Order: sequence, then C-alpha cells, then structure tokens
Amino acid sequence: MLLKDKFFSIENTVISNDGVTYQIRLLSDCDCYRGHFPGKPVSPGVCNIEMIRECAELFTGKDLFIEEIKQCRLTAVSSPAICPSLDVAIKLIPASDNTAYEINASITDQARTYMSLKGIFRTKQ
Amino acid sequence: MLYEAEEVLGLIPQREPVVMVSRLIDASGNRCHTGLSVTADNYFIEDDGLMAETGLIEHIAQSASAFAGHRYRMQSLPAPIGYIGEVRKFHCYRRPAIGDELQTEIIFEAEAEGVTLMSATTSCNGEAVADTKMKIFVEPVR
Repeated sequence: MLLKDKFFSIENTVISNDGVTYQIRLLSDCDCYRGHFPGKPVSPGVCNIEMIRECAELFTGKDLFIEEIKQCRLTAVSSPAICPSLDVAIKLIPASDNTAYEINASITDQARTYMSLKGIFRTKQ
Repeated sequence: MLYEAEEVLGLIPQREPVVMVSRLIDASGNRCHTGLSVTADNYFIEDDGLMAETGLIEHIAQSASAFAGHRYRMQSLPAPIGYIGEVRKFHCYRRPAIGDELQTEIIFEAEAEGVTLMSATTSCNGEAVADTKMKIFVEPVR
C-alpha cells in the first residue's frame, strides 16, 4: 500500500453491520508534507481518498481499483496538526456480480467532516 | 510548449516529492493542455509498477493549478494556492504505467468568487485514461 504506515496508521477498528470504521492517526513525518506545501503542511485531498481506498482494501481483503467517484466533497482542510486523529468510516454494498463495491465513506473527527465520498471500487483481476 | 520541467514549478505551489505535472503545453481562453511523464520515482507508483488512480486526480488538480498560475503570471501576479473542493464523475479507465506520457485537457467551465468549476480528460497515445469534473477553491494571495 502507498500510504498505510507512511501517511496514516491504524489505531483501532470498529466493525458494524454494513461496514467498518477505522480510527487512524495522521503521521506528521510523511514526506508528502515536504511538497504540500513547503512550510505549510496540509494533507493532500487525494491522500485522503487513497486512505479510504486502502482502508476498504484492508476490510475486504481485496485489491480495489477506483473505477468511479460519483461525488467526493472535501469540506475542510486536514493536517496532522489540525486533526491528528480521524475516523475513516466506510459502508460497502457488494455489486450483484460480486466484482465491485458501492462505497460510501466519510472522514470525520468530533469537530467536523473533512471528506465524504460515493464511488465504485472494483476488485482487481 | 509554454513551460517544461523546472519552469512549471513557477506556476504551482506543490514541490517534490508530490509534483504531478511535467509541462504546460498550450493555453488559450478557458482551455489548456498539460503533460505528465510517468517516471519510476513518481509518488503514486504502486508495488505493481502502475500509478494509483488518486495520482491521476492529483495530476488533473495540479494541471488546473498550472493553468491558473499561467493566467496569474500573464497579469504579473504570484501563483495562488488552490484546494480541491469537490470531485464529481471521476472515471478511471486504466492505471498509467512507468514510461507513459499522459496528456490532459483542462477546461475552466465557470469561475466566480474564488471558485472554479472545471472538467478534465486525460489520455495516453489517444486512449482515454481518466476523466472528471472538479470544483477548485482558490485562496487569494496575500
């Protein structure tokens, strides 16, 4: 995985009926902050999307391809200083042929929602 | 070719290791073309040697950032910082491989009050790789 244990680490896992919530920690020494942005570390929005994918892969035990993002809203700026601990909540509905999942995910803490995402993640061949 | 390699860095706020645009090829009106040479040291290359889909989203966002930076430069203003506000209707048709030369067309469809709505299509050798719509928030330079 690209970002697990580099951009984020998993502290706890809570499994529910229709999905999972990973309690994660943002890692301030990730090298992405050297360039995003110099002297002003802000978590890249795409790294938050990638984190959702990796959490979905961990939960399903499958390699997943982001085939479609119907909508992904980035509603607040995140960084290890602003929000060191986050909940990555993912609900998954398997497609009828079992080769893809409809994904509903959010990244939140007690203060605010940082991201909400709806998409289709397909199992890699 | 308008800007290549190091010159592109004058248009965008991102720096290595997360620079995801190699050149601004042309720009006119509300439309531009950019390129990315996919190299082995690209930040988004996964263990299987292919780029993560999220790398394409970042490439498209930085392409828009370079286009905006170019337009600000034409007015002798510094490049603003843009944040992705929303990604809609993103489709990935295949993941890029090391050695691929990606070309992206960006169209700024509407701009108002620090918000830009844009659409993008990324291709490689004429074959579609990804397309999306995005809302970008532009932070005024102080």
